Amino acid sequence: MDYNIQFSYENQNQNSYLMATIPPLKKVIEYQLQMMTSNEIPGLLTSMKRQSNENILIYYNITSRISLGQILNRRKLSRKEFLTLLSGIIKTWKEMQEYQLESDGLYLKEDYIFVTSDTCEPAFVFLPICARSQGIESVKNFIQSLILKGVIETSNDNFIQILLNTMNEDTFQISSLEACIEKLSMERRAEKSSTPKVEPPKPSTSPAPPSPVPTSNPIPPTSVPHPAPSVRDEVPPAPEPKPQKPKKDIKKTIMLIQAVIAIAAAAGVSFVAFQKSGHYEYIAAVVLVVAAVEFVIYRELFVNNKEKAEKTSKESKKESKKEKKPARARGGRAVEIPGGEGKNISTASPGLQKEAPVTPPPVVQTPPVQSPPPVPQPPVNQMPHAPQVLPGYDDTVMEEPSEGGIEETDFWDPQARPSEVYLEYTGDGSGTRIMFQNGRLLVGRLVSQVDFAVNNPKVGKMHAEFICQNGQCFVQDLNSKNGTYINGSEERLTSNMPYPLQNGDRVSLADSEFVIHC
Amino acid sequence: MITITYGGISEIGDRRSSNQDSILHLYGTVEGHQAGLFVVADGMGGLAYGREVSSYIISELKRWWEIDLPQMLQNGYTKEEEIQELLDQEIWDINQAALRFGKQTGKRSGSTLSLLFFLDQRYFIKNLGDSRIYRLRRQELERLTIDQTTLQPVRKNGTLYYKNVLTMCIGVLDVPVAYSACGYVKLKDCYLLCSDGLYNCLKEDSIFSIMQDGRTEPKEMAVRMRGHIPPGKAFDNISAILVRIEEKKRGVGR
Repeated sequence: MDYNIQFSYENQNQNSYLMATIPPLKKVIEYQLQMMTSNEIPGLLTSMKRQSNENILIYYNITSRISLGQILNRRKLSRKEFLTLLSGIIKTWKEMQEYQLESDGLYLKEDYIFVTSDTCEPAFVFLPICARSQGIESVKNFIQSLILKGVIETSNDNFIQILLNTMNEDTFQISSLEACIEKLSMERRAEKSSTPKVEPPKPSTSPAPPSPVPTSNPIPPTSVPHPAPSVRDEVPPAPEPKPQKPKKDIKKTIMLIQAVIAIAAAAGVSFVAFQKSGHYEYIAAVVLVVAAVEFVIYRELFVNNKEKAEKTSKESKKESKKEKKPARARGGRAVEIPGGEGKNISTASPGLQKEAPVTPPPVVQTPPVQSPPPVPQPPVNQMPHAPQVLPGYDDTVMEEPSEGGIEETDFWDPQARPSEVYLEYTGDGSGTRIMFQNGRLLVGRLVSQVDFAVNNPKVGKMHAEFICQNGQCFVQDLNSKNGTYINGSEERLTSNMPYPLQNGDRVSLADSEFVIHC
Repeated sequence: MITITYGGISEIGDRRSSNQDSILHLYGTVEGHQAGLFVVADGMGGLAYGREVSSYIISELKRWWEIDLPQMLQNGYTKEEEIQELLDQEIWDINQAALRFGKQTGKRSGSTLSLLFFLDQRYFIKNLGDSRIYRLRRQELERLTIDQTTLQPVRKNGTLYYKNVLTMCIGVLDVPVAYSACGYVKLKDCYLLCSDGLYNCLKEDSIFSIMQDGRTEPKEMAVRMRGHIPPGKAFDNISAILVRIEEKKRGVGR
């Protein structure tokens, strides 16, 4: 149904509202408007009306809710969430009848269905205007479009086929949909209860298998939702890489064993050497020296580096809270920002808070010919952290001494690069710098759906995604028509496979070129 | 100054149990440009979920009209190659979604697509499958599209015969290759978009005689075409959209 209503968003005090502007040409059904604004109807967003010139404004309260469209932009709906959504539609449908509201007023569009972030419990917009009656067809079309867009996670059972078959029946009604959903929910509950409880595994020496990446992360609500109707494929879920802690523990254990062996060996050798002469104190001295050396090595490897890491993260938190006053780097020298002037800083549109970045799957495809193989990363606990780069320079700000005392004087390294990662777009001739948002950057043509929009008809609506995680960057083509290429290669990237990138790599989305800086 | 009048029908026919066709007709001013979008999608009955795919095509193209087209025109994409590219992109995305749907359900699903897009004085055609677009101009009926079909030998009850099968459609192949055409409209042009259910039952002479009647509204023409098919002989779903280019003074109607 074509409503042609204008929607916008407003914040008032602590509440967020979706505002629908109904022009005078649209005939409003007064009693329905009265009914919906005077009552709290389960399943419908609470609303209030105002008049502005000849337009009727309806304010829908969407506080603490997020639009379904925004969720679908980032991930798929689980089976349970999908059934919750359908149950919500049915419940609302029935409640509307109790309040004499026509079913045609139920606005079934993903961007205007608002759900709770934890359970995906929906609330709908009701539009009290005259429209051509579609009845149950609108519900059917909505469900079919969700299925066709591939936004529902597949599961072991064939619940989608069952749902489609139910909807294709000639006698399809809301009650048959309700019965189908009830049956699917019961089957699921029965499945869960019949699954035998698994005993906790006995402890073994082998490390635990990696846990699967959760696909139903709750997305925190935002006060200014940004509608983006389309859906994209997610990065296929992949096993998490082995966490660093077990490796570190193994290293510690090996270190300790090695220290014990060294001390024992020193004791044995010195005992043999000095036993005859009777200088037992020399034996003790040798053992102590070896033990001290081992202690120093252990402390350097495992304690000092940890402290440094903690200190660096504390400092960065501190600076983000203060005004942007610069601080001296160690040694009292100013730090310059490399290449800052003369370039446009293009920030991505202020979208939602994104869910925690998903670790991309291991790359199984060979990278393009021109790219050298990725350099293996050194272990995190051995890598010194890059110095904090801050704008400007202030002589009066003094760095607080570290917990261990006054730090050693260090020399300013002009070659040191900031730890930020960014993408540079050279297509418009200005060298636009695009920053990553929580390690991800979606690039395409449609402004409302991407983090950075490219003004090129050959670029797809949602063309590719750049992912930056643990210091490594990847690019993934999102089923684009004209392809994504690295460093001028003629071979286009396989869709939905992340390809590793190195600093300075050129990535072409169709014929729009980007350069990664990482 | 020109304007467009249009009308269409889509119905089940006499022999089928469901209507797997879907149609779309939109017309208006978009970002200062006169634009019209007309689509016929015939879900493939030989595959599963044909209706779902044809409905999906319509809903996505409607979304394209509401969201993508205004942004496209705002960005100044009005050149022929740009419009062609943007339509191809949309068809690509729709095809990808249909392919995903097929994988999800485990069954091949497909639909034809006949699209006629007007932008100011120009028209653009994208066609996949065997739905057709005709044009009547200066008393001459011309088919503007080519069927993407082939004859496949089939043996049934010991008899060999040839069946018309599609070689291209939405939802089956990884790369959709649409038949493309474009040109300029002229006053009194009349376009017909239809599924094979119509043209297989109606001779071109009948189509011509109905289309050349300038006094009949497009919707009425579509109804008349359906009426011309003898009762019980509509073996397939019937879909037809008629679009007429007229002088502005007549006003816009359906």
